[in-house]
Amino acid sequence: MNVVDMEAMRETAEQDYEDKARIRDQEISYYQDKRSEMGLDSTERLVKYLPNPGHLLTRGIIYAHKDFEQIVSANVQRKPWAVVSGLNPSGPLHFGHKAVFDTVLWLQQMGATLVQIPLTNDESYLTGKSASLAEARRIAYEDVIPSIIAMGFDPERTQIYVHSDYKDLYNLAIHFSKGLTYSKVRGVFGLQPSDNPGLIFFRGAAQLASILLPQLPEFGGLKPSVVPVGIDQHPYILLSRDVASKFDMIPPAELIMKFAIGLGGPGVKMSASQPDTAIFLTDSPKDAQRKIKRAFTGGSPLASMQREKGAIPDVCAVCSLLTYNFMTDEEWRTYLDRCSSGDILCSETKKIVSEYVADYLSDHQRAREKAKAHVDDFILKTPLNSVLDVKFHAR
Amino acid sequence: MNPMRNVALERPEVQVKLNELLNETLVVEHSPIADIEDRIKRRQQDQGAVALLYGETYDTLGNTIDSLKYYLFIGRLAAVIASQYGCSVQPNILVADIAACRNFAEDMHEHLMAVGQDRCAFAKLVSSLYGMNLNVILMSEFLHTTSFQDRLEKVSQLCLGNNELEKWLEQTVPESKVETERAKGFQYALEEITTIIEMDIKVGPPREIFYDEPTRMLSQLLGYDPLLPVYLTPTYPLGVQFDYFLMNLEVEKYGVTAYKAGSKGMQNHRIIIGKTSPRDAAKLLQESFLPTNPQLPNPVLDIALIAEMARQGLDGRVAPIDLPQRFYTGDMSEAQLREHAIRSVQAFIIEPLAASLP
Repeated sequence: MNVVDMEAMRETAEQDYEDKARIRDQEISYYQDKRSEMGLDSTERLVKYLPNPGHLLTRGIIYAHKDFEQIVSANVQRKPWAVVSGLNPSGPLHFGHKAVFDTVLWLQQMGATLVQIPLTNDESYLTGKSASLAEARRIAYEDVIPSIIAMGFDPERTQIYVHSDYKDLYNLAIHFSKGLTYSKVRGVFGLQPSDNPGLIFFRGAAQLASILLPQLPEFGGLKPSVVPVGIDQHPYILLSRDVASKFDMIPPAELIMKFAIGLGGPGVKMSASQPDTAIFLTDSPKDAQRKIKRAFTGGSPLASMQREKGAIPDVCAVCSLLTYNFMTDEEWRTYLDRCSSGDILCSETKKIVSEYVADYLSDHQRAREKAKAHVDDFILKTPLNSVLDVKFHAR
Repeated sequence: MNPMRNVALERPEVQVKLNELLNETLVVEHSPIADIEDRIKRRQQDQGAVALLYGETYDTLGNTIDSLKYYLFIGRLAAVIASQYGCSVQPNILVADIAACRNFAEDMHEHLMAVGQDRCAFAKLVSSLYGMNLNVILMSEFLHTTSFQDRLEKVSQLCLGNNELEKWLEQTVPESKVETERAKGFQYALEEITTIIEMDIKVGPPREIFYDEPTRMLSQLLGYDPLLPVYLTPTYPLGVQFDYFLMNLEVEKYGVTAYKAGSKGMQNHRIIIGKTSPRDAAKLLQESFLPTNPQLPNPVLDIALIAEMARQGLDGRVAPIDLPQRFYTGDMSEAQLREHAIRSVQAFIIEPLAASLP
């Protein structure tokens, strides 16, 4: 390579570094701005006080909250509290979903007395992510539930349900829908005239019913509950808090999580419909390794420049996998410091992360196979009689 | 163990230097050490006395163990200054009976004034039992004197109408009460400032910065030496877990009011001398939050420190206190510290005071 080529490459690499630094700064201010804009609290004090804050809190992945103190208080006083977190099934789980369920599992290990995981196949169908209710239902039972169970949830305290199969929920949805107006639902969810009425019903009613379900008499009655969500879902929680107050229930708390960086880099979310943006929990270790090899990193195209300037782990999809999933806090901090200082090149990080991911996938897939036999132990079957009981409405 | 030994030593054996005392971890939160040393040296040259003050109001729920922290600390400070610099020191404890009445309806005032007398007697008893020479004074004894009223008038004239000073005065009360206090001409705050303005060193909880700062500003205008505030660490309620502090940011930051047993409605979570039994005190300490992170409120350690100051007072000495270091470096386990606090409170505070109280 001649001197001119080298200089051009160096210039490109300089530009690349500046671009990545700018993206990092934008990401930092995005989350900070959103937090203050939405009146959410920082998690710093939670990290200080909680006896086992867990890596998702200590590494700033769960970075904001609303009313989580009431959960902590219920937990310290050994009073019941619940966690609600679900998803719309449209394919196998990926590492983005794993972060959410890791949070739910951490909350269960902290002492949550009830975890409910609604799988909204109605939403998958209504939003067009799935061709039919039946297809989304199949995905829920065959792909999603075994993976969730394999993560280690306690069957005594975990209830999973697929919306289509827990039909009583729709009665509850009708009940809560009276706490809202169409214009409010439209304002929060940005519904379009072209949206189908089913979607309006799902957003404005069925989803709320899932969030408030743990507070029904069938599940022990009123209790604090928490919903781990991404910042984009905060308005939904606000809506459910509003409805909870109207129905004399306890407004749910929320934990806000940062989005894991998709393999294509910041701004590209992990998506089931774009297989190369995510590592799925059903991927073979070899496929995962291939995806990691091609993933966007925070490093420089020039090794010499990376050694000199260091990498920018905050925008790196591979470091994001590390941050969300692996190493002890101390090892992770040291590793990212070495990454930032240029001590480690991206190829090495990719190799290390590939090994971690491969180990995890092997273990998970083994556990997933075993979990298939236990799906029924987790399925919520409790009939919802209270909603049709006149005493319930007389409250 | 005889808790009554060496009672009321006039001159305790001092084994600690002023800068060490003022740097005592988890006893002192902030102190302007260099300024204090300069002030002492000046008083030495003038052959004047170094005037120390700790002032407190009260409610009707009793004398807290946390007031003792201030009595004992000011006694230790006086002993160290006298021993290290050989100068005269006047450690004052002000029982603000008139101010206490202002927080209650008028039909309570007679009772409150009597409570003030009792509190005065209690402070004198503590002074004598732990070998200190505290000068305990009631606010009602000097508030109506001409000299105080003259000074109050000057202070009021300078404060009211001065935007910066008024902003400080506003911060002495909760936001909801600012307008009520303004209507009363910030009487409470102005009397407090007038009381402390002639002092050299004032010992108090961190929240008193809202009185101390305007006082320092006024000192310059009135030609006094500026007040030097020493803030002790906040007082925390006992028998509550970390969730209480997590939910009460203000208590985490400033604590509860040391000298008011009913501060924040937490009277059942305080050790009240003569009321809380040793068994209840032990239960409170047993059930208190005890973190190993020194940045978090540690009510158990705070009580252990008060008890240690009391023990030294009974022994007639002022020595370094190494409990925080021992605990935070792991030399002392959580269980050991809890046990130590329970035993020390009983042996050096509850029992000797019970034996001396009328």
